[in-house]
Amino acid sequence: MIRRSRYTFWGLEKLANVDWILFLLLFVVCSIGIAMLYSSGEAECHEVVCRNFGSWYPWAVSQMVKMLVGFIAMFIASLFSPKIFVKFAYVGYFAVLIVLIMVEISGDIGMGAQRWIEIGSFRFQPSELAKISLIVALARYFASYSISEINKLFYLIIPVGMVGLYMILVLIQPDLGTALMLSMSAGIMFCLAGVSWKKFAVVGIVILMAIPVAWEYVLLPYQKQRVMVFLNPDLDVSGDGYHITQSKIAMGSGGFFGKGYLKGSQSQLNFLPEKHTDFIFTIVAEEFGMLGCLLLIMLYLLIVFRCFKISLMVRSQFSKLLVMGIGANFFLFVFINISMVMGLLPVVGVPLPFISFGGTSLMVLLCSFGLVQSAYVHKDVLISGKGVYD
Amino acid sequence: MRDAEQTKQFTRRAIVIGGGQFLLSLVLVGRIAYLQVIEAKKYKKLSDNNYLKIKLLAPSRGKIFDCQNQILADNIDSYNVVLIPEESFEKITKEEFLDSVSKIIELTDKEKERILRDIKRTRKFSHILVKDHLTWDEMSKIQAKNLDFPGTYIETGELRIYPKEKSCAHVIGYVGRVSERDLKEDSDPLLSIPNFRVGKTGFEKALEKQLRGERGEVIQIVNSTGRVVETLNNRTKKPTDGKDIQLTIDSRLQEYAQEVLSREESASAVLMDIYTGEVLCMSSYPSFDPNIFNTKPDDAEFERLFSSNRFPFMNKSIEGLYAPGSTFKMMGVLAGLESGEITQNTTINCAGHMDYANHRYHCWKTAGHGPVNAINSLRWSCDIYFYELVLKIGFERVKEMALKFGLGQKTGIPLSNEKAGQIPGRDWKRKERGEAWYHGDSIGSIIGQGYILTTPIQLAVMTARIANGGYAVKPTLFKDPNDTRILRKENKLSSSDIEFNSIGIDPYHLSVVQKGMYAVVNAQYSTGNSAYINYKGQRMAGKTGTAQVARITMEERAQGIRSQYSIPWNRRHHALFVGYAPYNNPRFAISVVAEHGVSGGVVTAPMGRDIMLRALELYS
Repeated sequence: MIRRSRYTFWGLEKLANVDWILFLLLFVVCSIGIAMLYSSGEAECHEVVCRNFGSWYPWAVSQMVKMLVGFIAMFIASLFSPKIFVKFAYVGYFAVLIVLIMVEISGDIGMGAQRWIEIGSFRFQPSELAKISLIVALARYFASYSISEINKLFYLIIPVGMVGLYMILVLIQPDLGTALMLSMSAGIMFCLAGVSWKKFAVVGIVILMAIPVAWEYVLLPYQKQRVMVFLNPDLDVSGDGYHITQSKIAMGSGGFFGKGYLKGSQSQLNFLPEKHTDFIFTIVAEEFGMLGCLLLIMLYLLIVFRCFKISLMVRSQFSKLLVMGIGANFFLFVFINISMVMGLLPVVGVPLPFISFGGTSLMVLLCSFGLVQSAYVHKDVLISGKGVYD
Repeated sequence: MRDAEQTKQFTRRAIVIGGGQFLLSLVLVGRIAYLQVIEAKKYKKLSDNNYLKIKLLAPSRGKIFDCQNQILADNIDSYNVVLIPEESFEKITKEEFLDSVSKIIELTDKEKERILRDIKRTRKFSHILVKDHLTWDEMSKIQAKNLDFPGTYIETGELRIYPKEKSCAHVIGYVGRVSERDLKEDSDPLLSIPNFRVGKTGFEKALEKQLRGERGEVIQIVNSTGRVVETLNNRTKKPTDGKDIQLTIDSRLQEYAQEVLSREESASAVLMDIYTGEVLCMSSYPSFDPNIFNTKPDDAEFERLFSSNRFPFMNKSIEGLYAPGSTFKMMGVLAGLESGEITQNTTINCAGHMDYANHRYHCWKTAGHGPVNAINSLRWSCDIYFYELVLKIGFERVKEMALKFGLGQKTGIPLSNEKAGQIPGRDWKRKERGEAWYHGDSIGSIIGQGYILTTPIQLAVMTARIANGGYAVKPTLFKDPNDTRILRKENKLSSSDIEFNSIGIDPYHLSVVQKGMYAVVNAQYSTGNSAYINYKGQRMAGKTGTAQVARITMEERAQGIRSQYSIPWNRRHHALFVGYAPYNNPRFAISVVAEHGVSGGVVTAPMGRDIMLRALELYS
């Protein structure tokens, strides 16, 4: 029960009611991330000999700052009532939509795709923001209708349109990975809202039939190449296949116990490409072995499970959908990233949550867990059918 | 209740999704276990291959000495200038660098181009050869100006040199670059070192394994660009240097022999110890300077040597096949005596020719020698004596004798390319020619003509076995450091010193042949008088030989050509000489062959005399 007091410190007393278990889990995983970024940090090479044994620069310190900001944002978000989020759900959706359009017009080119936007000296990836704002908007939409209404095709036009708009803009960037992520987390939202399995089956069949068309007209050559290399990594051992081959070597050579922190030859001697971003899981695997991998995956699952539990705990349908949606989205990140570095999925450019270097991803994720915390803190708050006030 | 229904539906769906997530997590765990446990070994190996590089360390090649500890094959340091682009071109451009370097060491435009190309092609931290084989002067200048050339350093390598140059070239051979064939036959990783040299001919080739030594290894850690990050010094394996080898040859005799052999166009000589088999001299003329392959490259000289029809690269002592001519006659006398068909005193009358089966066979002396016994048959080299002898005893017995004395077979000297030669006989002819053996074949063969082919070293071995009382001495080139017999001051050797088996010839019969050979050189009006020596009362015994290469044709005869010197060089007779000395206490056997030298008595006997005399001077 939330203890209500007339004398508040601007509502700060609510902080006592956040889910500290969830906080602890997030904090531990973030700390592991800092440690891995320290390991992947590259000491500058002086003269002839250089061998790096980890470094605070250029990534670990920068990530620490963002982590701090992210946690503060999480706590601030947890203070707001879910009602506020309901109120601003659509506003947020359109704001992100405008930002995505701006990126299309004036975005910076990063890694061959327009993914960045600069505001002053601050750079961020709006597509990261899109994942969360879509979940919030869908949660609000579905929470305002009954199951029977939701199962009428008419009521699905708007949410499908919402997903479609984002996807098209992200695909134009082009960012196939994020587009797929968006569609998958949206799919989960549709499922949680109670859309019948029949409709999913129909959509599934349509997608299967659309794949050849997409291959021909939507995918860009480099995206096709990635898929081809995924299907047969030996195709190009020194080029695109190099990433996945070296990643597997790093993981496999780590064995059960790993080579020891800062002692991974694959990562420390730069055989691993993009080791501080998408492929950072391989450092964990190389230096800490299978034991480390299992531990990290367990921590991730505990976070997902915590979201699952909170979603069953909270009373409003909006909060349920939001929390479960955020948890599932988080799981998708983890699953896709790890599968990708292990050669189970094509390399699509999805970071490992809380571990990969990247401020936008880290802060957006922490903010999204701020929404979860808010739902937890205000678990008894009810939100009326049309989503205005109780 | 709308809310209750919604909540129920949500919970059901949440459980389905949660279950799905759990199953997907199992997939991840399964894949992790597969990579990190089941395939761990394979990936561990791949990972090691990625970052551990083995750098080979070359051993120092074994040196070769002669029996007097004179060095025959040596290693000298060679200095190369090497640059590292990222350090060399920090402050100055490549062009400036090359300009200032070429003020000190000579660089052709071609070399400059090669350097620039290497810089472009390789990584900025790789080591690029600027110039190899610097002179001492150039090297010290570069080192003195080290500050002007940052990132350059002097690399020390090894070069093979042969101080005795031409005189020992055939025995020692030479080393050269690793060829495709070497790589096929030899899997030693050392061969992959740039500039590594392997033995190509002679001793360098025959004893390659012992001379080469064993590789050392340094394990280095490299990063993904190939830059060496660390050297694991505690895992360094030092190379094992090659073994030094001492040979039995005496470079002083080698040098002198070259001088003596140079009287002819193409000749060879072997001088060996009759008891130990140690070969003190094995010389072939013309020779070459083995240093042209390494330290003194000389294209013009190279071209000249390779195109010469005197075959300077051939070790004629073991590769040259010659009809032995009259030097084969000792085999005939011994076969006759051993057969019991003749005795020392059996005489045959030589009328200058012999008629047999509608054919007239001539003695070299048309006037004839009159009555000839065993000793005089050798002394005068009377052909008729041997024609009659072989008709009496048959050639098979002579062949057997020749084989016992080491003719027509490899002596087993540790050099490649040794030829076996051949002693023909009934079986041989049927097999090789598909014809029967005629008396004419016997008559030709008994005087060392026809199908018989021997090498100079075989002739030396034959002579040694006659001189040492019938022991199957084998020639060797290895000097056993514990064996001091060759250095003995007094020429006394008991039969227990001989480690070879007897070939089972009656000593008396051998003494007849020895007397005959003594007479050849020392009796008046004999065929080998020009080999006469009297060194402190020591005399030489020997036998000359002149082997026909081609007949003077009827046409030439019609043109009045009678003399060998009037026909082209390559159709003239081969000249041979075998001998041993001192007669009373024999020690050395010698054989000399002069290709197309025309006359054994006139040409090769004096050459044999001079080389033997020098050996006696050196060793008594």
